[in-house]
Amino acid sequence: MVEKGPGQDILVNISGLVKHFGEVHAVDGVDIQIFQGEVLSIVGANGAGKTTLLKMITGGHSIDRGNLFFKSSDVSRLGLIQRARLGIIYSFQIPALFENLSALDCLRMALLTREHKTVMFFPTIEKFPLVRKEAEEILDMFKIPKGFLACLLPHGQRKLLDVAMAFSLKPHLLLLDEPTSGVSTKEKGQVMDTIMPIIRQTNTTTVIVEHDMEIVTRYSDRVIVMDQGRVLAQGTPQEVLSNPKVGEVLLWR
Amino acid sequence: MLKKSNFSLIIGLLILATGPAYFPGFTIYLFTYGMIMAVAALALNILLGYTGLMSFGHGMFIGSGGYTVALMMKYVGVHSFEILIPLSILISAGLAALVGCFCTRQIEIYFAMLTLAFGELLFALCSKFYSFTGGTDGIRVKMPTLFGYIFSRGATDFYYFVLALFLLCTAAIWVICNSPFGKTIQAVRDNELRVGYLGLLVMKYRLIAFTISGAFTGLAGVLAVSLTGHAVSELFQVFTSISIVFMVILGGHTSFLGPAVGAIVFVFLQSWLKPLFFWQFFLGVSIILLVIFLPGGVLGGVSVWLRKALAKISS
Repeated sequence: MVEKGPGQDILVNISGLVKHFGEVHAVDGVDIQIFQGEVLSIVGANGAGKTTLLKMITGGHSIDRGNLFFKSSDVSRLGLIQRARLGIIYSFQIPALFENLSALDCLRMALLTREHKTVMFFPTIEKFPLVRKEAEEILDMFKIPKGFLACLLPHGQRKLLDVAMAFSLKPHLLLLDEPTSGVSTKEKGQVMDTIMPIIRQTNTTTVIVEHDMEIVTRYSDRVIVMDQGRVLAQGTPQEVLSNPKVGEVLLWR
Repeated sequence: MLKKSNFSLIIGLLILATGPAYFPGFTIYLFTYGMIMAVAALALNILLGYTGLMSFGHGMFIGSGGYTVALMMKYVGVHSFEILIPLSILISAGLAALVGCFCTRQIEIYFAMLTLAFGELLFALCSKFYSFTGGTDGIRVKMPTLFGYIFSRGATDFYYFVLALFLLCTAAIWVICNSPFGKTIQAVRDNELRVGYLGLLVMKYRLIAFTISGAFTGLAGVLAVSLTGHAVSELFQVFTSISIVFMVILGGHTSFLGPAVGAIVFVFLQSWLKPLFFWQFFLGVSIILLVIFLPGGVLGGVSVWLRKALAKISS
């Protein structure tokens, strides 16, 4: 198996990234590289700046200072929509679904976006059999029933649907914000065991923000630990786990 | 087996198609007006039901459609539907695009208030330019012709012309609402943040929906003044806009045909209550009662009642 991480092509190069909310230094001079095809986890205590960093990469938060290079192009000043169009796709911590649409329609919506067909007024959506077929295939892959309204799905499947919508856009960089948050301990493994084989199979570069260290060590190629808006440590899960400073911050010992 | 909803649809179409054979003239007039307003209500529901935007200014498009006819007749001498209809649709769509550029940047109450403000602005302009628009006295409108054919106002031939346009508009709006664009505006309604994260510019979809809605409402304006024979500045005013909102709520904005049913019911309700002193009071009470006891609108209530009745019969 090819080792993921350093040595691969750099997909994202972040240097000196800063985001302040008044007196709060949410992200305070972060330098990170994300390599093509790797699964990188970002861990840290609450308020460490993980989600803010993720949203700065997506364009959801503006960058106060620093640079963000994606595929060697400076995308620091691009907005959310332009970055999404470049293939930087975010999956929400609290599922952000189209609640009154069925799971199938949520997926079709994402696929129509990818195919640039959202400004078509004719024919009806049922006349796009290939889109339907692909949506059904993705729903099967993520083990989501297609007929239910998104608002009626159980929480675990809502999380999966959120990730499936992001995945269906064929992202170059997939950002998963706590994919197991709010999911029972038993279901966490099921959710990750559903998502990760698909990500590995498609070689999708993925950044996961996660609190559960068991999940982080089991599914990541590389881990970055954040503390008070800065990178405290980074390396393979084993390297990070053996770092005493990390233990102090994450309080798992 | 025929679905229950299809069965109701066929019954409704049969009543509309054969109505002139057994309904008196005034009822036919009311049905004609009801179908015209149904086009406006279905158009408004593109915004309210499908995009999640409440417009209190759709009267301005009834006004723009109506005044296009009136002014073209008075100053240019054009009397034919084949020119007036496309022109009115174009002008109403243009007005909607222009107004939408300002309004669709906002959502919820701010959007509603801006549309209300634009409607009142146009009402004031129309009222003040008396010499050109006739102000609150309005402009008399002759019944336009269709490829030389002369309609009689309120008669069967015009009823069928309106019925044909109503069916055409209903079909067109249904296709739009179920098209990729239709699904996109529903997605905007449900979660605009997520739509942005998919890489779509939310405002663009709101603006297009607003423009389409304005265009169809403009067509309703053309037919409305052709039927009533009068274009007045009140068409732009808030009462017209609120009436269309009432129609949508009355029929049920969650079902596709609800607003059309609501429009026809509203027109009949208004006609029955008008002879009463202070009729607006009774209209308000009727609507309050209908909304409280039929929260899904008339169509939703009737379908629940039908379902219960059928279940009782089958048991």
